[in-house]
Amino acid sequence: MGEQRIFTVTQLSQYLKNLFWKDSLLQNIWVSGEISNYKCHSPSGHIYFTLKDEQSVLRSVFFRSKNLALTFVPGDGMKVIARGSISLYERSGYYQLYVEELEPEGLGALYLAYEQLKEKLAQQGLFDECKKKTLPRIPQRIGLITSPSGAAIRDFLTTVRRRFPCVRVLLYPVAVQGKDAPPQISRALRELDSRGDLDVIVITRGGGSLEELWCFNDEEVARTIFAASTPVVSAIGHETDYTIADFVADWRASTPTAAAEFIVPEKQELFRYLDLQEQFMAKALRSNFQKKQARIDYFLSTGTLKYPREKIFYGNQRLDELEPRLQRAMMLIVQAKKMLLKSFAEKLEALSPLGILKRGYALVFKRENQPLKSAFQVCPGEEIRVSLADGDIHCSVQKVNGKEESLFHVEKKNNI
Amino acid sequence: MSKKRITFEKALERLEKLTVELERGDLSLEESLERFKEGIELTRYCRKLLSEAEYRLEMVLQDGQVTEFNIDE
Repeated sequence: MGEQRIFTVTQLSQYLKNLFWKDSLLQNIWVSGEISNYKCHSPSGHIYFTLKDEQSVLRSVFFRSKNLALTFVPGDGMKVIARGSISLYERSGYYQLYVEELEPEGLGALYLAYEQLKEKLAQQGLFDECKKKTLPRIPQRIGLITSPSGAAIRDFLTTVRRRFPCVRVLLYPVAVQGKDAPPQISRALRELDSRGDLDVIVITRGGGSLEELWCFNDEEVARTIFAASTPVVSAIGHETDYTIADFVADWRASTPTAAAEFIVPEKQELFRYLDLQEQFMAKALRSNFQKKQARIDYFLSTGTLKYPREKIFYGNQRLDELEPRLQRAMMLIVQAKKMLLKSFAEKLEALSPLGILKRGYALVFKRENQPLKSAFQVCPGEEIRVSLADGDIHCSVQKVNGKEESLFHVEKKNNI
Repeated sequence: MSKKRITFEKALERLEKLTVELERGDLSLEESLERFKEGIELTRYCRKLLSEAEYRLEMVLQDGQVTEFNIDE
């Protein structure tokens, strides 16, 4: 096994610190307890205190950079819930809570639940921008889920009527605080959504405490809003209040009045807009006419369409001029071709045997029109025909006088 | 005219499309005139819708029935 290793105090502290760091629970933990030994150090602004319950204590430090967001002033004896990480403070040799957030207990528990639900739903994509439905530009029917008494409904309806008194509002009265509120709100939303004739559904409530607004942090309400096929607008509490319903709604308005202003257009504005569209169209039409007119003017100015009659006259005249020239040219070509043909014919004639005969030569044939090429092809007494240009003479051979050369030729031939 | 049935929003969308087409300026005169005519009809139709429509407040009752409702404002 070898020797036991000996640590220095610093090494041990470092080792322990690493253990804390590796533990994910200790790195993000909620702790409830009562504050004691509260001290706000000046001028650093860091807050030091001890959290305790009946049996244990936990040293805590809340650095200035984190505690600037505090919404209340903590003090000794106050029950709180703190979120932070646990680590070792080597210099004093104790572990402590490094606080990130601090809330009064009660409120703190709600706040924790709120944070956890918010994170869960965010991860499941209920707040995704791409899932948000677009609102109609001009709604004709608005569904309204709220309490029939109270400031919110008045604020909303007054603003709607003032801006756009051509809309139908269908109120679904619900409780907007207390235990009954979440199921009522969910049911109202499902029923209004399933009607299918509403362009938008508004869920609204006036300002109130965190507990009073709590029904809008309900998971079922959130999921019903998400599942609705009608666009949902939320306007809950005051400007600084953000409920889960606000995060999941397709549009979050800060107040009921703001919701009405966002949802309905101003009637007079719409009339002005229609006037404007008419003006745009008229202007566009006019400019289109002008453009076409300009093109016509251009054609006219180039002369193509300027004097069409003159163009025709000019064309006719030119045609008259060209016609005799064409005829003349054709005649010349025909004549030249004729001459050419004649000279070819003459040449052909000169080469023809008939031509030769005309010059006084004769062709001699044996029987059966065998042409005679040699004097030795005939014997005395044989009938031959002498063909001249203008007729034939039938003769009998009296004598054959061969030339020596030819004789030789024939003999030689015979020898072969 | 079939336009009688379309919603205000659809009418407005169509109107905007016509204006854009007209402004592009590559239409024949006949096409321009047609669009202009349709556009003017649409603006009239929209004005009529706006003038005729009335504000109404109704409430859903426990049994799911819908009734007129008044609230002091």
